[in-house]
Amino acid sequence: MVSDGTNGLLEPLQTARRLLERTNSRLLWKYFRIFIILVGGALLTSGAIDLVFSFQDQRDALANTERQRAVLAAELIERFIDQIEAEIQDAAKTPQSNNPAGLTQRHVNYVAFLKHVPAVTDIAYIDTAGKEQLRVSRIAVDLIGMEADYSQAAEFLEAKNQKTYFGPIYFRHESEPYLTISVAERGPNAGVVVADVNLKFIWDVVSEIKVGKSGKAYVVDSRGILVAHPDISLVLKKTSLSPLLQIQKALKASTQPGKLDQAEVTIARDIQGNRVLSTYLPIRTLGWLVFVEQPLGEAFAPLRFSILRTAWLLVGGLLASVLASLFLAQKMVAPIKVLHEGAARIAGGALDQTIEIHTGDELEDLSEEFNRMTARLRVSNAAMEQKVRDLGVAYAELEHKNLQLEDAQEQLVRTEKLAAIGQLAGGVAHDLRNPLGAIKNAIYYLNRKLGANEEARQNPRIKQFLNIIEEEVDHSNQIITDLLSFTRLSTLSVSNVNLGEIIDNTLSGIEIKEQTQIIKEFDVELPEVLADGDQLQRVFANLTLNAQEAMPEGGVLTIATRRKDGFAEVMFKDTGMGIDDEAMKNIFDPLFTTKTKGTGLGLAVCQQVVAKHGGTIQAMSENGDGAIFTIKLPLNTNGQG
Amino acid sequence: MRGFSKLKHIMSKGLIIGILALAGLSLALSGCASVQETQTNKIPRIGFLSASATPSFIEALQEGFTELGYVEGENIIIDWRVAEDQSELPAIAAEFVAQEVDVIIAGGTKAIKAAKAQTTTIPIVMTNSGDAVRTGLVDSLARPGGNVTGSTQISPQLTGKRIELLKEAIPDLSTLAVMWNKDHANTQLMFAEVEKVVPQLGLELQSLEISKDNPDFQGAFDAASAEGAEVVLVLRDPLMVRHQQQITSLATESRLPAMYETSNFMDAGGLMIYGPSFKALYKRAATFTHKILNGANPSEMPVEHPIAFDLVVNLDVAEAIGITFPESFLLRTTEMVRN
Repeated sequence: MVSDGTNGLLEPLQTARRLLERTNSRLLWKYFRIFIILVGGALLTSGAIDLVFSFQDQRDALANTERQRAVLAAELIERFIDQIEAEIQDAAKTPQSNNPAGLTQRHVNYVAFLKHVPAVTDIAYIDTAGKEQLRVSRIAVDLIGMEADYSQAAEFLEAKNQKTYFGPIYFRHESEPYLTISVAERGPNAGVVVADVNLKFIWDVVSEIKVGKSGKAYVVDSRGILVAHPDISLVLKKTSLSPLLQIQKALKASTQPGKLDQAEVTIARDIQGNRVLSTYLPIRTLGWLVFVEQPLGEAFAPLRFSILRTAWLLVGGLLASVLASLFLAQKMVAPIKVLHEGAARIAGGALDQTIEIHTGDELEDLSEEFNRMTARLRVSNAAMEQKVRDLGVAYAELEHKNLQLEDAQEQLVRTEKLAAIGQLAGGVAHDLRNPLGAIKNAIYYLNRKLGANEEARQNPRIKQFLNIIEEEVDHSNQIITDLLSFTRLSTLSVSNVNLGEIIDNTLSGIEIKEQTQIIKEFDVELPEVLADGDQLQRVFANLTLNAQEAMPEGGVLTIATRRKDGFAEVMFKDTGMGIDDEAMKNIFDPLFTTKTKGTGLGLAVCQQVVAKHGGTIQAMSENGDGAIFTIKLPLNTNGQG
Repeated sequence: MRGFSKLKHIMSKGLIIGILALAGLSLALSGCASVQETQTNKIPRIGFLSASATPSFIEALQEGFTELGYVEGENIIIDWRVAEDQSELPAIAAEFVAQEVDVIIAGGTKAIKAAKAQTTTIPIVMTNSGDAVRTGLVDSLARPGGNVTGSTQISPQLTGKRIELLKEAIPDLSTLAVMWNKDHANTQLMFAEVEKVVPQLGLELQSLEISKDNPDFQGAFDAASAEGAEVVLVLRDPLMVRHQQQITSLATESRLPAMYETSNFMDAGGLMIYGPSFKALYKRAATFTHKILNGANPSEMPVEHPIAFDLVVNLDVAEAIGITFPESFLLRTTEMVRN
């Protein structure tokens, strides 16, 4: 594993990994979408184009069929009308004089005409003044010389204009469609020949036209009024179809002669409001238009199948493209995933990893680049680690030295402090010792006198107070002794001593409480130490007494010796109340005490003694869990004076 | 990375399969598109029913079907039933209905009525009928409204034309005798028309009224001869049709040229008729039938009036009564027959 020191370097890698991790699924989705759009879009487009074209094809095919029928119908109607018109023209070619003989000849001619042209029911002759001179009919009585006035009638005026006149459709006996055709005669005194033509034939032609199941044909005149329709009632009502879109277009086109032949197919509504595919053809002689229409639904039924097929293909294609897109996207993302996982591992610290991608494209280049980067990182990382290790060693050394410096400084301060105290205490102690001796002597005298006095013996409190005075004097003397011994520490009288022996001597010289158990663990191999045995005894006694005081209810005091790192080590470990952190800071300071009767010099003296021997004393304590005092004395070295 | 290339292999395999599947799907679908709708075309069955059709009428009807592309027994089946007697008509009509024929073609008002009594759904095509509206066969000529359509006669409207033709046949005609049933409402109307037209044509009119209850045709012709009438026009009604044989015989005996309305009088030995061409009407019935078979609704197919009219003259009868028609008149005839 990489140590903490390389974290800063790996930070960009971690970021890259997080980014990759986040984009990974997005990338798959993105590719997927792109493929779907590409493949689905292509499918949709081709489907739509296919539909548009097949719609146009179908429409054109239908239009062709319809147009063919319209052409046929228009031709039949046109031929029918043309033939009759030609017959009438023929009849008009041989003008007769207006005398009775001429009229008789005309009559004969017209009778022959009727026999020859079955579609014409009536044929009439209007003279040049607009008077009807003759009317020959199949049904009605022939009219001769009745002179009905037609001078303002359209059939007369228009024919006179050298045009063939085609009148509006009208009906006889409700159901018989008729058309009036009139033609002007030629030559002097030319009149007009008027024929009433039964259009049943046109009816047949129109109602014969069947387009699909319910398509139909109809004919409108130049004003858009229905002329022929399978439903005669519409014709009888003189229905005007001019509001219909296809009629409007056709009528408009028919006013532009060039456009007539390009009759196109219109999708429009028929008179019932149903959507129809409509086409038409003009009958030029009449100015009529033959329309052929088929309901859109029926017309485009084959197209519906085509749409359905395209839709199915589209669905299938989309499904296939979804799968293909997933495959492709997966395929494209897979090396990226490998790259990502590799990056993740490297980011996680596995710098010995390499990323293996063999796609032969930029991704492979990228992976190689990555691997090169990792290798470089590996090298620089190793160098970095070595530097960090070196730095750590140097730092530890520095720290050690610093601690030593601090100790020395502390020692110096303490020594100076002790010297000052020693000077002061020596003077004071010397001056106090004499009055204390006088008090002690006085107590001795009083005690003796008290034993003889009955009254005094009766009062125990007197004896008690005397004892207190004596004890306190002794205590004061002890303090003075301590103070004096403190001042007297300046010189050591060293010899080779056995630390175990000195400890044993110490323990036999002081009072050990019953409840205190002492365990000795001495290192028998420990060499002798060059030291002042008496002063060491004072140190050991002090530590033993302190331990006993820390264990008022009793406990175990373990005293151990051992050799360690060129030092003899003596350890005093008790099971007492321990030392709190605050006290631990000043524990070796002179005059610092936690005891009510302490002088605060005991441990300071101990420290002073050990320091003079070139050793150290350390205190360790877990509060409430005993204390350990460790003394280190140099082996084979002379103590400092 | 072996797994990766393997995956690649599988993927390309999947793609190929997908493309193949697509191609197959589109092929299958386009295959479906080319499947044609197959229709089983039932051969239409027609029932023809008449008590008055003559072989020439039937021929005309057959001609009509042939012109429309029908071949009997191949793409059309026609059951020709010409009744000996009118009383047989209802049974034949019932038979057609039971056979569920596609169209019934009925010739003559009796036959049409017999068929109409049997069905309101099977289309009935009238070859010829009296006034189809007045006899209740259709609601109106423009929109029949039921299952009956076809042609109707307009014989009464030709009354004036007949008088005119008589005048043409007998160029120096001055007196016209008209024989009519005074008890028949329709004939009364027709006679009123006669009274209007005769003066227009500059003729004298002699009315030969026949009583339905006591028809005296001999007396009528005697009266005509006595009054000097040169021709007789017989207005058709069931009474006249019933006595057609007697009437035509008396006319010939009286050497009076007579004009009738319908061809049955020619069969009875009449001199001449002017009326709708029954052949044309029968032929026309084929067109009606054809339209109906192609899906036209008979209730919306206008009933048609005849547009072709026959002027038939029996030259033997003319000889028998000793008249010679002028050339101009003979030019107008559509048919000249001999006995």
